[in-house]
Amino acid sequence: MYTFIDKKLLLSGLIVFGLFHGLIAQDFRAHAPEPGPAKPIEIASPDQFALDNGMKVILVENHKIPVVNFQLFINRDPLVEGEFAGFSTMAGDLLATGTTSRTKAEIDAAIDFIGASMTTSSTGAFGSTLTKHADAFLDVYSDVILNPVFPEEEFEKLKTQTLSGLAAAKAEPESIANNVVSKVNYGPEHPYGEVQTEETTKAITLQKCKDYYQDYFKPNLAFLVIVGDANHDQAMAWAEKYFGTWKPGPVPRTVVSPVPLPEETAVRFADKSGAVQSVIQVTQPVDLKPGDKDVIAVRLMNNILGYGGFSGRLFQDLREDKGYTYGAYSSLNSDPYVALFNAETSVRNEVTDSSVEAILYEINKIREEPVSDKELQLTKNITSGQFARAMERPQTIATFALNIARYGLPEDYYQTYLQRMEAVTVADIQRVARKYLQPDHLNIVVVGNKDEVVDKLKAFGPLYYYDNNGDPVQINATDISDVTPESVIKGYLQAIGGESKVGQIKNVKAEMVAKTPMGEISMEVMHKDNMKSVMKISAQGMVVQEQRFDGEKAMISQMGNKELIDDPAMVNRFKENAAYFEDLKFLQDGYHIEIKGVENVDGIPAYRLVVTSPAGSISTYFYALESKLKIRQVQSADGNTTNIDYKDYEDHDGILVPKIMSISGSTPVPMSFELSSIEFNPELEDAWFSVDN
Amino acid sequence: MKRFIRFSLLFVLGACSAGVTFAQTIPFEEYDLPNGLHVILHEDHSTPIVAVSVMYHVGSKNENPERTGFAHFFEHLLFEGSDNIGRGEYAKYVESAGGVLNANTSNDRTYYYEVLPSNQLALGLWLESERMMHAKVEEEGIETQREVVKEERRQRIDNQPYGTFLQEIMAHAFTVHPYRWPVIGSMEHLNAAKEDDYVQFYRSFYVPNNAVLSIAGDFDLEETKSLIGKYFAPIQPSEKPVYRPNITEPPLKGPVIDTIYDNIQLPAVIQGYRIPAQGTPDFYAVSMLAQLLSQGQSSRFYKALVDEQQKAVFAGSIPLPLEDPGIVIAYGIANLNVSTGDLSSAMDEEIKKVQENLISEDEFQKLRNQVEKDFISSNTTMAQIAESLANYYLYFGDSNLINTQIDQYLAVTRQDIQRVAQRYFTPANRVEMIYLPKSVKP
Repeated sequence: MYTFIDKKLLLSGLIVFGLFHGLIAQDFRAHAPEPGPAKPIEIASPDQFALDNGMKVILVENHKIPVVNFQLFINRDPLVEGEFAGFSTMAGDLLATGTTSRTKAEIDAAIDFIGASMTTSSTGAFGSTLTKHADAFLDVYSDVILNPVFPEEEFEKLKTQTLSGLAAAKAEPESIANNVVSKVNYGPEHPYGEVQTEETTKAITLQKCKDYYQDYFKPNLAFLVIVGDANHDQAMAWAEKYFGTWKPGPVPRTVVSPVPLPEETAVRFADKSGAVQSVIQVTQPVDLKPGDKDVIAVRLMNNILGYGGFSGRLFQDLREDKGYTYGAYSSLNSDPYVALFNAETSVRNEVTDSSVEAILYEINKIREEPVSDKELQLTKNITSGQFARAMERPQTIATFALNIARYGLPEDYYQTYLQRMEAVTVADIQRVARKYLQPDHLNIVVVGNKDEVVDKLKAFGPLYYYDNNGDPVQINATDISDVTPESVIKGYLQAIGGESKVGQIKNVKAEMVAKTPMGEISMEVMHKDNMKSVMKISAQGMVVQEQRFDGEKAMISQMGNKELIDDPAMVNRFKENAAYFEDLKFLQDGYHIEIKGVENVDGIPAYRLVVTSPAGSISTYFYALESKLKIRQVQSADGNTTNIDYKDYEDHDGILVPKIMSISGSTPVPMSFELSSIEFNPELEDAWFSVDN
Repeated sequence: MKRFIRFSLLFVLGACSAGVTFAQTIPFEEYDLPNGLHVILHEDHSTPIVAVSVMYHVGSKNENPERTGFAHFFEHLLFEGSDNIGRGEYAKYVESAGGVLNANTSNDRTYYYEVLPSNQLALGLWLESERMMHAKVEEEGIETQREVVKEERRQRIDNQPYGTFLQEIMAHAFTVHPYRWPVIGSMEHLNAAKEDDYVQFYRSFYVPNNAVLSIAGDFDLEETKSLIGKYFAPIQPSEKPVYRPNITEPPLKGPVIDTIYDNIQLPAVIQGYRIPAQGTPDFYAVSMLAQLLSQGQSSRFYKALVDEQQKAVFAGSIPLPLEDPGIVIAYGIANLNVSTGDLSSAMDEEIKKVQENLISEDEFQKLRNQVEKDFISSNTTMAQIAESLANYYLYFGDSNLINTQIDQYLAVTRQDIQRVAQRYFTPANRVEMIYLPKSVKP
């Protein structure tokens, strides 16, 4: 009995204990564990000194790994580069392409041999090396900073590469958006509003680059930031040895005017035909200088709105709640001249307007409603976490020291940063939101598929159009109620020589030549019976591409690799383009033509006609109001847009033909073809159009 | 989550190279829990932060060919919450604690991590153990993340110039091995999948016996071990062994050539040569060969193709560090008016030089110096160290490679570099993708 009870008691005890234990197990999982006591974040003070020539040196010691990094920074005013936009960038890139004692190949070989890395820019140079190779590194590093020679040949090479780079950027909607954002927020006269284009790049001379270097690369503007495995004596010795002979001198200053708020909230749209996503950047210039008493509250406010993690309201709303996008963020960092607020996202076409609406909603909300204590605390934690993690990188300490020196911040600015952040209140957040975010003065920049997204954007304000470089495209409000698409095309045919005369042309043979940075390219086209065509492109005397259409079958050959086209849609496109004067066909059955208004094309008002072929392919044409001539053609296929501009029409046998044909968009750089000969109704042999040989 | 997955760049990961004189020592301790979870701990008190990470040995190669994209999809889905974490709360816990979190997926493994203030270590362990023990795999989260993944695909692949190159080259280089499908997978497969498919995938792969818990930073060793026991020991291992495909890809009977029309301005040549798996002696030799071709401005490709001949605006070579035999990529983006044929021949010419002439002692020494600098610089942050330790253990069963992998590079000779150039960089072993602008598509 006793034993039994005992056992039973024991048993029930075990059960209870087991249950209890289970409950504890459940319990510790049910809630997030409490944090331990917070550890202080220590911010080391860097070592700072100056050379007699005025160069300032900042040293942050860190001996974890035997690597030392050098950053030379030229603390100059921002520049207005105007019609030569890009010359300072080119000058910076050229630093490491030749010195008084080394060729580019020798510089590259010396840096690579020791496993080091080095990059140069318009405001200095960065490099990283193993400590044991530091002297070998500094020998080359100081040489490119002090003795560059700017070789002509390297300049030409760099120009070509820059043009290729600009061409590649044209395909990227983000870079188009950035161009529009810069131009509309700062204006083209402001240093921040400049956009480097093909045109400004071509205008840059080597002398501009040399002058830039002579003007600004002076030790009295320079900081040498040394981070890593080095001590004071070593840093001092390196600075003296490699930069001690650098001569100081006067430097030009720039007066930067303040930037006004935009007068109205407007939609600034750049067309990217065929795009599957819209890039949205809701932007505004903001006056917020480093060290301003509001900087920390603004950082918290921006983190609440658009922190770059999961917690930002924009991310939560547009991605987690609505699934519109892969990400949505905002930024607003102080700047000594003018800061920029930017709320950005990329979204699928259908939700472009809803996404703009959601962003505007969040901007208004943070102005109108106080944030909760909890949300503010969360954001303070996020911000101090950012701070703590940044301390892992010794570069952070150096950046702090550099900011204090550049912007005249108090010496303890970063030591007391977190303390001041803790003091920010809910009321402060609302106050800075109202002060710095102005919903009636926003530039809503959208880059996307015009035909699919633009109509619904008109609800947000007046709509302005921009090109890839961020320059305005005029769309006129001319009355076109009594103009029909047919009358526009007939007007054009009349202007070039009359419908009947054009109608008699069956065969055409034309040759064109384009000058490019890489040499001459020639294009030969032939059309027979308005139903067969050949196009040949040659470079350096070699045919690089040829297309033929024999009226039924088409082929394309690249560098001699011939491919027969079997896709019926493509064959059809050849068929549609088989006549030289294709406009005649637009009046035929099966074609659908629509006038989409009047727009300025390079300053000339023109009708925008959208032509849909019987097979469904769509092209856009611009016919000038005054001259009636066709001045632009835009073709989009699979997300790629080709622009063809026609200029300088001249008379050939009573028919006006454009002397200049400029193609851009589908070619790496815009190519301007000049007509060298054209024949109407010449004898053309069928064999030339054959796809079988 | 901005930088959520980076599968297209993942091959850079294992490419950390080797050193020469500096004896690097990153100390660590490691052990297994009874449920099979491997634990690696690296203690460093210099900054009050800690990186907590779990690497699962599941990537796109473990997927059912009819259900591709699951591993990457789970990278998203496993942020949706758990039995004890509400939907959308996962990230909030981390960010309210002042931390960051992210994840990435490759063909071979999936990696989740948090970097937290060090007084929040327990939070990181709780979050990761919840994810492993009973994550929410439910319709609502699946629906939302499906949309997000589709946007990700549009943004990172479809709307990106040359964004499809990796999936194209793998699709052409492999016919039977699961490397033939892309990590992001098929949107149709994700749409077609049922809730139960997802649940089964979770139970098969996201288990302690298929994972490495790697922690680096400011913590107390004994206290941490006890916390790990508390949070992870109760998690059950899977009953069935984890599926690991054992599929041998037959040799490529190349050359394979294809043309891709993309939203690009400049044509490109992208070549892939089939090579042995990472960790093999030949892989190290191929890595150094790739370095010879493309690291620094004095590298062969850069100097010849970009600088001197100006046939390319960019050119380079990268071996993909894959668990099964993979590929090394050589690529060039053509300069204006340079045909892809011309560029391709110029690339071949550079490779031919390596095949025919032994590289000089000087150039070889340069490669070794670069290897040393890269190896020393590759593990400086707590996040890097946690990930490297996990990688080395998961792939090679040897966490100490974080200190010694450099020796494998140093074992490579000049003759090895020439030999692998001759052996693998052959026409029959190559796939070539020609990228042309859509505008020239007739």
